[in-house]
Amino acid sequence: MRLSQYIKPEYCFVLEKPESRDALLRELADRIGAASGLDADKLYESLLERESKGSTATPEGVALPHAMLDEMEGSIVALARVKGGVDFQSEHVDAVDLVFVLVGQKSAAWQHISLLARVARVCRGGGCLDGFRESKTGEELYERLIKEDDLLA
Amino acid sequence: MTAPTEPTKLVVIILDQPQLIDELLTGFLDIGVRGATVIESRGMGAIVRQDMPVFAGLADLFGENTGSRMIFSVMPESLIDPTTKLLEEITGHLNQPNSAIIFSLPVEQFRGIKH
Repeated sequence: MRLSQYIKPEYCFVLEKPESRDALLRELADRIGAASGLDADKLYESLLERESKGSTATPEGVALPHAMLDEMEGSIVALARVKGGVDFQSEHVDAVDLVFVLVGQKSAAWQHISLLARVARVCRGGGCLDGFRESKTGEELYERLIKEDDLLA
Repeated sequence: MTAPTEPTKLVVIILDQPQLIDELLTGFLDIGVRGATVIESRGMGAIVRQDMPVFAGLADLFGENTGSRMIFSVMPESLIDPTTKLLEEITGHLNQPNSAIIFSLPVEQFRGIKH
């Protein structure tokens, strides 16, 4: 699976420090909704619901909130660098400053799982997260992500 | 039960670096391998080295070994090459000692897996 099929430059953001995790998810849902045509309110609720089952934050300071929607066609991957980081309500890490949002079709659960696995693999690449953290614009984030994705089989 | 739509093979992997199992299974999910059975195992070298004192003087012949994982997965034939590439990517060259072994076998009967 290649991330390039699911991510676009307009789904990559460098964001100012938010007030809270929920404020960040709200902003991401709004931005993804505006770029994709998805219902931002439904997306936000779905992301919140997933986080309520357990934080998706990892010890590396990366979070992977994800949502599965009925009306979705295909899948979307978005990536945000959050300046200063945000408390993602995880016992494993104090702050998260890289957030991958995955949105998929309810009827295509396996594709969703494969995408999550792909993102996890990309994040394991040596120096990859440092590169994302140095990105100053969404376009730069996008280019770095595609480059890292291309390195994998 | 749904019959598979393309020929399937049983892929067996012996992973000599158990700490890589998470990475391997994540990779499985990425490339489309939807199921596997993982068993903790020990190779003959490890048993000879650790449990059979009579061979203690020759232990170096068998190399260090901290255990292994055996992974069994019935998968479509088209996934065998991606699986092998993934394994090489994760463990390094397969011709190095203490990396991994992979082989496949034909599946003559197939029951009970639902995709």
